[in-house]
Amino acid sequence: MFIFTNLSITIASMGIVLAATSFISGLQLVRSTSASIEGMIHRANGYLTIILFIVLTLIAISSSIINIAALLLPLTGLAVFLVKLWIVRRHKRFLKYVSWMGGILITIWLLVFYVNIPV
Amino acid sequence: MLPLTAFLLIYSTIIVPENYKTIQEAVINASLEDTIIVGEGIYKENVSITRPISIISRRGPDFTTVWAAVPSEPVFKVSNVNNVAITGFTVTGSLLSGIYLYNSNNGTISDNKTVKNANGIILYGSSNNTVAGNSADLNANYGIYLDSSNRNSLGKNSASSNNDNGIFLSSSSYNNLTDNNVNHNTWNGIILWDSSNNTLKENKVWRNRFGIVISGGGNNTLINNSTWSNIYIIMPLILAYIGIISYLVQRRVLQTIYRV
Repeated sequence: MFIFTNLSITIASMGIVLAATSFISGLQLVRSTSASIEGMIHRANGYLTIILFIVLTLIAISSSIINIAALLLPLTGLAVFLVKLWIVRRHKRFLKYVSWMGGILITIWLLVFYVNIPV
Repeated sequence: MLPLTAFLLIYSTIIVPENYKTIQEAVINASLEDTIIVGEGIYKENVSITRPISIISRRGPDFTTVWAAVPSEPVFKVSNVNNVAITGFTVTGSLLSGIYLYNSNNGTISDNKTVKNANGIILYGSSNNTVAGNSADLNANYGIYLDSSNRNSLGKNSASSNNDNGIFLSSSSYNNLTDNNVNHNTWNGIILWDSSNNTLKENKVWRNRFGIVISGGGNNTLINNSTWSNIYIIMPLILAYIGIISYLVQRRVLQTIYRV
């Protein structure tokens, strides 16, 4: 398919799929009877998106014409991700905010997709 | 068949900036059908061509830029002359046109980047020219504009992100537009205005206000052109849906493995 001839848009598409999977499993994690399975899906897909954020950042840096939005969005995504990890592991009292942060991450992936649409 | 020495005597090669400092000086001093090789660098000048010659950059458009010294004039203007070739330049800064062919036939405009001009490439009253492999992007009006120009071949060009039309044919007939990328222009992707017997084949015309517009004229042929204006709006929704399916599949697989 023509759309996926561009590396950035391909990675952004994978990011949306993984982020959606991770987000749904994160919501299910709260009320699931099989929390360990939901947790595994949530973490596996979530950590994969970190790799994709890093790859997108490297692509944006290596581009001959630096697109500020294409550079800042994955960096923002990484920052939100790290804050989310920090909350989950160290500051459980902020746990009520993590589903919002998951929503922000999905929004960032959508923006990454639109920013990287090939012209 | 001519021996090589005779060939070199008839068709010589001029090198810029070694032989002449500017491209225009080289053009003035060139004989018919000479080739001018232009070294890398930024040349601030307007080049007027009135004899059949070839102007070729040595290292391609990423290394060789010609910037309009007089913005109200085209950067390259080819007037009333046949068999001119312009290859491998970045052409920018004109309030008229990057490359302008006026009453000129059988020319070749290839592998140039005509960006940030009023218009990228204009052919006026010019026929049987080949316009191939150019990027006519980010111009204030049109990427490629043909007026009263017939039997030209436009192939593998990009005419994207222009502030009006990507490719505009006005009163032009029997032209072939093949495998061009015409995306993200503010108004029409490709417009045929009062133009007949043109063939549009396998062009990608995406995300323009209107894809391919035909107004007036007749007998134009459209073959396998893609005009997916809204695919990028729908695509993230499809991907999110795939994400949900992916979640269900992963859960079922893990439930099977761990027998939960």
